Amino acid sequence: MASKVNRRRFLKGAGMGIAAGAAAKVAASAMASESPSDAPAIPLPNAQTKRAAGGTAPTVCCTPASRLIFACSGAADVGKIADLAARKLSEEGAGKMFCLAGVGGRVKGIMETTKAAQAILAIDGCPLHCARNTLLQAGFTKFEHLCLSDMGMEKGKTPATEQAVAKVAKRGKAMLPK
Amino acid sequence: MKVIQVLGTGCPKCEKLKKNAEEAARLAGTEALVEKITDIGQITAFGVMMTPALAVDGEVKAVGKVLSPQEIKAFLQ
Repeated sequence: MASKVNRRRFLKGAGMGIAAGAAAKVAASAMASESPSDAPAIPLPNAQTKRAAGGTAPTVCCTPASRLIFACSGAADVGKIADLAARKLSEEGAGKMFCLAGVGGRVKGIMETTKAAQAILAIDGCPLHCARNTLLQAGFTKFEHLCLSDMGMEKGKTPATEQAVAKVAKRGKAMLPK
Repeated sequence: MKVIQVLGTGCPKCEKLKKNAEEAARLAGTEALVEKITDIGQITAFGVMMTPALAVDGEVKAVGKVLSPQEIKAFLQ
């Protein structure tokens, strides 16, 4: 696999970085492999990448602050609907579904990504509000909250049909900023 | 020795963050290894969905912004 890691060593007291022979070779190899076509934006459903006219090379690789969607993804039927609606929204590009368990587990990368989000939508299946509470306990207070029970979907009595998922996704989409 | 990882696929913002990380290492007088990670699989393995991002010794410190050398220096001390 072509090296995707540039390494430069900085030694204490050194005025400039010193690239050792091996590291320099790695760097050179990485530079050589970093043609624009080798450096696509993160291939996520909502990744916004500007591409050069008439070509496939991205002119901007950095992904913008995202609209993140967290679903409770609980065991009940409504948890399944919440999960599928979040995935549908992600596929449609309304936002990016992200890992609620990562927030619960305080996984650093997921926490920092969530902090950098432009907007957050939490989808809960039932009034226990597990997604909402997980975000609150992790210190996130600014987010939109959608609970399926508020839409008349009762736990244990609402099969995860396409219609139900579409209804929740539509409501969720309306709650996210354009 | 600290390992500073710059996560990004190679745009000017990522390059700027890498330069700032190198500058931070100089300012801190700390022995540091600056790595630029451009592989998408590796980036997402950090739990990062927005770039550029910065990790120190494998721990993500910032996502979606270009930190200044001073800000990065604080992570090295």
